[in-house]
Amino acid sequence: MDRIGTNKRTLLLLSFLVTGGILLAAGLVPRKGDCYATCSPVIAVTNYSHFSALLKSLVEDRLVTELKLCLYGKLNIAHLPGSFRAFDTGLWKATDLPPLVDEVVSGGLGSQLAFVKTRMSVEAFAARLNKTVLSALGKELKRLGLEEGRIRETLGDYRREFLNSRLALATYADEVRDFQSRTAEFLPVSSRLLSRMTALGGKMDVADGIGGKQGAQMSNNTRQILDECAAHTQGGLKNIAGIAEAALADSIGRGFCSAGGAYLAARLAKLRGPEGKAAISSQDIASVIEGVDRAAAGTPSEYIRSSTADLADMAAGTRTLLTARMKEGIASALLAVSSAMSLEKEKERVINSLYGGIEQEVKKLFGDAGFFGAVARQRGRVSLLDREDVKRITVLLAGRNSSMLRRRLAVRHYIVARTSLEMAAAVKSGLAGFDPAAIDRGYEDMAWKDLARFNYYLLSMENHRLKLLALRAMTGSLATEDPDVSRYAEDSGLSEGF
Amino acid sequence: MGLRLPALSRLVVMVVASLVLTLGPARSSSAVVPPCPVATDATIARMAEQWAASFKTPYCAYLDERRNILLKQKLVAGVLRQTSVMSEIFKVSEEATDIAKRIKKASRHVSLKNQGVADMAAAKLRVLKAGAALTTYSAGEKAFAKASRMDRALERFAPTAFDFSSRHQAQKDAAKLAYLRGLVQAEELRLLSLLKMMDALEGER
Repeated sequence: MDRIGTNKRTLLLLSFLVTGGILLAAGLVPRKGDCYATCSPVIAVTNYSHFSALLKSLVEDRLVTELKLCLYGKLNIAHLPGSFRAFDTGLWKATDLPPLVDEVVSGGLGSQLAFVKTRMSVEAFAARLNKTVLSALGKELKRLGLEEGRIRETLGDYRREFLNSRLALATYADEVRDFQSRTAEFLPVSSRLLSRMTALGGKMDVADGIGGKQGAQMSNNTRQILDECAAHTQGGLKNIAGIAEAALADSIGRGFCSAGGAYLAARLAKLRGPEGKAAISSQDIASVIEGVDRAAAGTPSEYIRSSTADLADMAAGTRTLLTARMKEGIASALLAVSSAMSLEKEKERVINSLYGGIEQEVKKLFGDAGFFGAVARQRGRVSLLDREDVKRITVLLAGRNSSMLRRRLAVRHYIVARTSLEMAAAVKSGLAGFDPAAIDRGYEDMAWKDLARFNYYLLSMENHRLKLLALRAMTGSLATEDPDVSRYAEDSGLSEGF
Repeated sequence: MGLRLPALSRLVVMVVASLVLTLGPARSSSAVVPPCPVATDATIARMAEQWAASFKTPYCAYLDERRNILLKQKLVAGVLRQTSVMSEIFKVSEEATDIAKRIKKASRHVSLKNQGVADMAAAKLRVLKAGAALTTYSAGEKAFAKASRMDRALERFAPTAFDFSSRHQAQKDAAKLAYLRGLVQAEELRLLSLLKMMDALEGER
């Protein structure tokens, strides 16, 4: 050292310090490999194309679901009955399909949610994963020629010390819970859509049935809507499975396998081979870990696919049940509407047949002067509006001293007027019970139904007015006592409708 | 300083050599680090464009399909199917040739020879009155037959059917019913006019 000198030693020390500083600074500069560790985990787990496809599918599903619900609302309103007959609760109840649909759909949803709660829990996944990796480890150890006792001991330790540990569970619990909660959130949305859309399909089928359009294909709209909803459910479940598969595979591959590998490496290193054999080599340990990791890596996709398939099967079961129940529901709704329509016309038919019967009876007595005399001689006044007196009035008209044509015309005139009076009373009483402000409270679509109905009543009343006017024209013409008119009337006779 | 030049130059050479050797590779490995695959504004915009383009086809296809279904709904016929039959009832011609012949025949009975103006006017009015009565009777007879046929056609329909149809069907039916009301009212007006004509002629007698 004395030969070097103080200056040179200082110089050498200085140069060492400078070089060390440079090396330290160079070591602190970030290198290429460190960069990706700070990037988004989503990007690291998946890749752009997969991420993009998944997001696209999710957004598309969301948009289409919204669109479907929007259309459902619009079409559903278009199929609501008018306000005028809304008080007819019996018919309303018989044709109300939503409760029927809700019952079936909520039953199916209940089963699905129970399945999600029990069979898609962290514990259920852990049981499946543990079973798979234990089986794989057992096979690997057997391949290495270890004794049964040692294999059992190792497997027991592996289960107790690693698989059942919080550390192992924490590597995948969040992802499994995410899958479970996403599915649990999606299923009610999908069921709501199914429920609403199916009820709409039922209404459309009833409308087609009333129009006599469908014939044998009574539930054609419902069937189409059920197909559409099934595709929607499948698509949604597929999207959720796609997200979960990527996330869970990543957590198993990174967290579970690395922690499990470390445990197994340490545990297997302690193992001794059978008598006279050497300890398990590092290559053997690596191969065992690789086999176990491979088994673990395959579990997420198998688990997710089987869960999704089970849920899809349950949805298919709900659909089958719904198809059968809707068919029955639509048939009974059509029957109820048909009965209501028949009942509605029944009142008209009763009035028509009552007065038609009286007219026919009186026609037979046209030549019976005795009967006419008996009625004419009866004491007591004949009431114009009393139903009981209709027959007496027609007998008095039929027995007048005039031609057969005039007498028949008079009877017909009176009967038509009388029927019109009854009809006017029926329409008036029907309308009197209705508050037109109810139209304001309902949808515009409902008002159209009422408008069509009121137009029908108007047409019906105007037709009666026409009949009355026609008869008045005929009797008025005959009342002129013009011989040409009388001759013409007698020659042509009474035409259709008399 | 006391340092000799060769020693100082050796130190400088050493420091420069260390810098070159150390920072050279370090720069190549760290200074030109490619950007993280974190989405920048440009990549987000590009991806958004790609997504928008990819949404376009399925979403528009779905909308197209729905629009077609809605249009099909609008094309569904109303529930009142008898309207064609009903309108046919009122399309029958009103002209009755036999009535015209009878009116002509009645007018031949009137003698206009050697009479005063008042007598001639009265005779002509009698002919007119007879013609009006004949026409009114015939029109009434025909209108009654039509109304009876209409009644039978209406008998087969109950308005409850409107409540269980779609709005589009109800609208169509409302329009059809309004048309039919037009036909019936026209018939009524015709009869009323004839009656009023007859009344006017009666008043002249």
